[in-house]
Parts: sequence; C-alpha cells; structure tokens
Amino acid sequence: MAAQTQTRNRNRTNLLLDASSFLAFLLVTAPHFTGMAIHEWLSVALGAALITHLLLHWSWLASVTRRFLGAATSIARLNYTLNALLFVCFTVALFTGLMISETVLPLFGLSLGHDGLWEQLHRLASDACVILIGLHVALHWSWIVNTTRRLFARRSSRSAALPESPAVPTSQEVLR
Amino acid sequence: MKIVFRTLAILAAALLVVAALFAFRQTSYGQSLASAGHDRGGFSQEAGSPGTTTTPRIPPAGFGERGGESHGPNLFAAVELLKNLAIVAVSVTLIALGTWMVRRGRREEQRPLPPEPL
Repeated sequence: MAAQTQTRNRNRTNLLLDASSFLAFLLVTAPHFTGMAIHEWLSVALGAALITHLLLHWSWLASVTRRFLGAATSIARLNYTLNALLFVCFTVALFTGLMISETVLPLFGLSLGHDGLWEQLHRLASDACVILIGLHVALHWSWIVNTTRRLFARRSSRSAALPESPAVPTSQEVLR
Repeated sequence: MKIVFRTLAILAAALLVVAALFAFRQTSYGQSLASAGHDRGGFSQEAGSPGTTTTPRIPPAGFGERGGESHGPNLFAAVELLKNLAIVAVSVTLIALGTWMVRRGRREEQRPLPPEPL
C-alpha cells in the first residue's frame, strides 16, 4: 500500500514537472512571442528543469547505461539513444544561446562578441530539439495518457468516496 | 550527497558537449562559419552598438528562430508556438498510430484460426 502511494506520488511529480517543462519548452521556442528576455531566462530555468528530470529518472538512466549493449530491450535502447541526442541538442542550444545572449550574460557584466557559428548552431539545435521532443513525447504518450487519466479518476473517485484505482507504473518502468 | 554527485555527472556530460563545440569551432569549417556570421551581420550587438548605422539582417527562419527587429513580446508571434506544437502533435499522432497498427497486427497473428469445417 505504501509502495503504491509512493509510485502514485512519483508519477504525479513526474507528470507535473514534465507538463510544466513541456509548456516552458514551447514558450522558449517562440522567442518573438515571449520577447528575448523571457526567452533567455526561461531557457536557463529549463536547463535546471532538465537536470531535475534526469535526477528523477536516474535509476532508469543508470540501469539502461549498464545493460545498453546487453540485456536492454530494443524500446529501451531506442529511448536511451533518443534521450542522449536530446541531451546533446539541448546542451548545444542552451550553451550557444548563452554565447549570443543579450540579457542573461550582460547582467553579469559579460559581453561576448557576435559569432555567426553560435547563432547558426543555436538555430539548428533548437530545430532538432523540437523534433526530438516530439518523438520523446510520442514514445511516452501512453504513460502520459494513463497517468493523467488515473490522476483525474482518483480525484473523482475520492469525491465520490469510491476505492482508489491501482497505481500505474512510472514512464521508465513502462519502457524498461 | 548522492544528488550532488549525480548533478555533477550531468554537468560533466554537458561539459563534454561544450568541449566538442569548442573543438568544432577550431576546425577550418567552424571558423569559416563564424566569419560568415560576422560578414552577414548580427541582430543584437550591431543593432545596439553606438555609432553604427548598419541595419541588421534577419537570420533565416527556423522552428526556434531568433532575431528580427522586435525584442519585446509580440502576441501575434503565437504562430511560432502553434507551429512547434503542431510538429509535436504530428510526431505523437504518427507514432501512436504506428504503434497501434503494430499491436493490432500482432493481435491478428496471435488470434487462433477458426476450426475447419468437417
């Protein structure tokens, strides 16, 4: 029972963090919509969210890293490769974004000269990120739907004083 | 303590990517790209630097395009956001549809054949 509650809480935390990160990502990819200052600061916050996301899924990350060439399932391998690519693209986008920053770095008294390479890489990496995020969401779609459904079903069953539905496995347990 | 080490491991991985970027920048191709950017003109430093009258050219568009004349928020640019949302939606739809078809195919294969008439 305690384990079930723990899984539910973990699922809820993951879902909330992932949903807000996704929303932030969408806003970050539209700098004209948000304005450059929000674009830059939100990107930095998204970097922190990415680290938190990785920390929350560390056990899956460690276990697939260990058995990537051995006993890992093909879906886990695909997911791992996609995540690694996403990490690289996101790091490139974030770093090159900082290198051409107009708000964040100048605030700390740093001003770098204009560099066409960083700008081109920034654009390329953010384009790749959009596609990879789409694939990432697609691979976890059934988990997203199931967890959201259970979360809302739980709320409605609570209000109707019905017994709670069993917990869904975490997204990484599904892809293990 | 465990979290600190894990965070450091993630940052170290990110640092490797950054090191690879700098290594790429040192190559002749990277340097030609960097100088091409100088020739083309930027959107921020040149526009904001005092004493210059050059008009910055808008860089080619991408999903995450930057630059342009306006640096403040623009509600009409919500199209950018919708475009990216559409890309994600298309990816999800295609993959969900593909997965559903594969599962359905497997189910069809596993379904026992009807008994032959006597």
